[in-house]
Amino acid sequence: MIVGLTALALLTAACSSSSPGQGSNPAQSKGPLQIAIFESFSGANAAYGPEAAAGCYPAIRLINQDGGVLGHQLTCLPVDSKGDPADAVPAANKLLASGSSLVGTLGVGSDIATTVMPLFEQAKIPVFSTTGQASFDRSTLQYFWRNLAPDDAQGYAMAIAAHKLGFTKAAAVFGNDIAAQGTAPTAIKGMRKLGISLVTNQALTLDQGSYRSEVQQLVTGSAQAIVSEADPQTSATYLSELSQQGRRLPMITDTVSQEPSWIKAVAGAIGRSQLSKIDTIVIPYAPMNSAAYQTYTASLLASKAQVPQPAQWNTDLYSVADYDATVIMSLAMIAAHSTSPSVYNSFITKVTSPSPNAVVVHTFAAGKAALQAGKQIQYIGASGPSIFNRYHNSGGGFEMIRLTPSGKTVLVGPITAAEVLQVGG
Amino acid sequence: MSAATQLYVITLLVYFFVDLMVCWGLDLQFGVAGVLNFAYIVFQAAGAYTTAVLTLGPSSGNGGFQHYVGGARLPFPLPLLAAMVVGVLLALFVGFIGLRRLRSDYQAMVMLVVSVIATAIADTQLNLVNGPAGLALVPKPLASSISLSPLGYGWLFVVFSGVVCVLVGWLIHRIVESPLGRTLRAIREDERAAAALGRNVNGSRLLVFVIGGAVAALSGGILVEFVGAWAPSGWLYPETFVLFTAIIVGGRANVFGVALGALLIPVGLQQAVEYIPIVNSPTVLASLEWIITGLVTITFLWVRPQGLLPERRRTVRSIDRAVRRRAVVIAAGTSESLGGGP
Amino acid sequence: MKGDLLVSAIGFGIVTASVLAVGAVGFTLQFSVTNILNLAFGSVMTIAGFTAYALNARGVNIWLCLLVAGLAGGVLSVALNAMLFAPLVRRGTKLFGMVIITISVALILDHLVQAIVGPSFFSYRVSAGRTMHLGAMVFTTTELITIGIAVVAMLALHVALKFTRFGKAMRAVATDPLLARACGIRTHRVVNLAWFLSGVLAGMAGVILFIDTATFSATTGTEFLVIIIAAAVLGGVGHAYGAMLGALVVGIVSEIAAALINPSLKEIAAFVLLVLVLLVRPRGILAEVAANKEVVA
Repeated sequence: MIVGLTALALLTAACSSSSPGQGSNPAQSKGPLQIAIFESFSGANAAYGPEAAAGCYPAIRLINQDGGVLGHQLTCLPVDSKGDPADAVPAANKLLASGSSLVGTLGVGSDIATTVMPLFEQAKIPVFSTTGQASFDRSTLQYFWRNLAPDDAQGYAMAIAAHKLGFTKAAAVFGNDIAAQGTAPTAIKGMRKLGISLVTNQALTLDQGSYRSEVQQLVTGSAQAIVSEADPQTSATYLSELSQQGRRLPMITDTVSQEPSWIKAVAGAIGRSQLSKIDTIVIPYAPMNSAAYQTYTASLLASKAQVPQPAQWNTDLYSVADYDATVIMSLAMIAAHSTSPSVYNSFITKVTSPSPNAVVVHTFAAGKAALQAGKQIQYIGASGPSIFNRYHNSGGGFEMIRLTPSGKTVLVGPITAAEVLQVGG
Repeated sequence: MSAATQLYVITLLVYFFVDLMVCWGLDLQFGVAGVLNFAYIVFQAAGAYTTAVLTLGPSSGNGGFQHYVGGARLPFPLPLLAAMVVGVLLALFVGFIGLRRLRSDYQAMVMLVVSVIATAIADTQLNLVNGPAGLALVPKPLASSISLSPLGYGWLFVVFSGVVCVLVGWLIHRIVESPLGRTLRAIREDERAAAALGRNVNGSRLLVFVIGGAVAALSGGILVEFVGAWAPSGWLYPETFVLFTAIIVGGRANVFGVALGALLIPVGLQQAVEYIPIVNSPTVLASLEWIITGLVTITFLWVRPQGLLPERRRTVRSIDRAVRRRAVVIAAGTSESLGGGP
Repeated sequence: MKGDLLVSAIGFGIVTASVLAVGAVGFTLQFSVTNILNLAFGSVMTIAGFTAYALNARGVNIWLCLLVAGLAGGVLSVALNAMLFAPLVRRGTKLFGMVIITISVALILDHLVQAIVGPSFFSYRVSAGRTMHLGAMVFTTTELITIGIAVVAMLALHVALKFTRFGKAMRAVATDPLLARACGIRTHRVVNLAWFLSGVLAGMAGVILFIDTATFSATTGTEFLVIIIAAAVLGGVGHAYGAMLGALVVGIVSEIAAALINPSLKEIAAFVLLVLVLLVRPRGILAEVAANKEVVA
């Protein structure tokens, strides 16, 4: 039986890899290189996977059009983590056993990051993680990278937004899941610090049939606004019941409410025009009118074959961050003259850090050309600059936006990194 | 084998041993005694949480980002033993509520509700076992005192889980062949007849409930020590269904049949589904895995309800039958079993 | 203030109970007649709910969609029995086996829906209407219609079971199928009718649940099934009036617990109540009454 199982595993490993064996240099084979999308494609967070795919495919489309990386074409490899640590561990081990064409990984969200990150670290595969967990703020893992704002900074930024919008009494309404509970504590702490009184603090059990009691508690209080993050179904049910009570409280939400599944669920429940009237979204600063952003959007829309309904991801910052991550890894490989993950990993900061000598580039093609011309570069992508600190985190400023009923972004105002530091520090 | 491939094989083997343990424990309840425990995965979860909490140390450790009750740092193998104790206590509690004089399908319904309550409690009481995020960073047992490479440690863990698994299998086999096993089969075939013959129906059922609970809890403890994390998304009630499928496919009340089922379903099917050539959509693939599991179950119950390796016909069984015929007259009841067989 | 909160919670409980009651009665009605514990009930709710969505998205009025969904649920339910459950019972699959079969069907159907619609969220086009205050209770027009539908469905069922020939036949089969057959009742037709009615109620429960949650996905129906089962078990499985009572108790208790103690205890409070009831009355509140009165429908 054990023999059979071992044979099965070997077969598995053999089937999915063309050149097994650790340490062999993939550059010799010139076969395609894989960027894994290790995310939930099923279960409660099944929308996370397609979201990351909407960043990966547009990036490799442009990279491959431009001749690939050191002669290799890139492919995106979706792997389902099922959003559960016990399922993710065998999936990660299988991925890592599948051979040396794997050069980098996207995804690895909050639901599994703590558990599988050490496996990628051990296998020396760089991971651009979408986890927001504060426990990674001072991560010492060499192969962990985060080009998104951590949850705690996001929470402070939401509190600052509430303050800037002039609210003095607010309610905190967060889902009880790991993502929302990462943001809630600092949002609450920040509001207290800024003198906003917290009328009520609700941790919603996800996906309940109704939240009438919670809504009732909210409307009997004197909150002027709701500071909130929850999953699509939960937010939709809650806000629908709130609007049925005839109350239209302004909301301050975060990156989650830019995700298409959230917009679809909530707009379906309370109407797109009402949503756009009440919701102010606090997101990491990403200049959407930049050339880099337009390059991303154009490639996204052209990736219809791999990304169904591409337009929906247009303003989703997680997709944008994964797009940038793929470009950054590719440029780092070129800068390192190696596709070996353990070699190019240390070049990631070299293609993203500001420097007087560096040429600022906004696309893969420009970056590749500059590197081949022997220049130093700083890639500033669709999500803005990614300046990594020694913990491989790249926190920056935030901005408040509103989405119009037609899906256009309207800037309300900026929240600088200094402001976040001041409240958080 | 490359190091990465070895790690993958190690993972598969540990998962197989853990699955086999739970399948045997569940089969003692379902295959042998006829108790339909749809909350079985909860016992595994209880064991996993207990082991995790007793290995992690106080809740304030690890940067304090996890909140749970009862944190302690006990040396190996105390957390595993504690897990078994918790499994026993939970089995007594749940058994007391749901195992009494209820029809078997009614019991199944109550157990299903128990499974969902347990998930709801773990999910909503955020400070109990860290809510939906679950527990992570559970240290590997003895990792610091045994100086081995990750691979060497992995293989050692395979041996450890394999030995525990064989011990569990041997124990269950002994129970099945003992007079208690005979009583359990008699209860399964006809509860009222068994009662009429003076067999302690409720007591025997509670006993297998407790043994199965302890085995499940132990398996959960071993799994969490290997994986290092445990969250509510890993023990939703359909997970119990997968174990039932394994037993039905392999052959209930047959120790080897169950082993075959554990190899084919939780480990084999999951791996095999990924090689189905289909559109590049892991979402559809995950759905497909469940659809195939469901179809396999229905097909087996339709075509071969006794499973690939059927229960051995025992001479004692024919005695049971003769006894049953007599007892039917006494109790004037209807017999109740999985059916389908001759 | 506390009193107002209690009254308003009872109001919310009634809305939840309406959805629950339609589901729980449908679940228990079929069980009482056929003895098959149908865990695919939630999937019938989901498929009927999505049928309504397909029509509603094309502009059909939601209340008309509700009727179509009910019909779709009924047809699906009868088909499942005819093609799968009944043949298996004839092949000798007993209680145990049938539970496993119905849960298999639930998984297959749910994941088929999931594979088709994807991990996305959907909403009906339905306006909540005006908000009305009855004392401290607040209802929207839609909620009042939901309550109305539940009440009418329950009354209609009561009349049908009590006064029509089919209703009497159904109760007879539920009490003693052999005796019923001996009395010349065509049990086959009665069983089919039970599956149909149960499916209709499942379909309607699916749509009003999806209206109530405002947003739904492929898993919403099955997620709610366990609460429906809890209500049915609480009242006494196989007992229609028990199911109604169970739905009211579960709905109101959970909302009161949410309002007065802590919203995170909402589901748990209902389940704890169920456990307590089972400790005292292992067969549910009304089961013994039913046994004495010989009214099992």
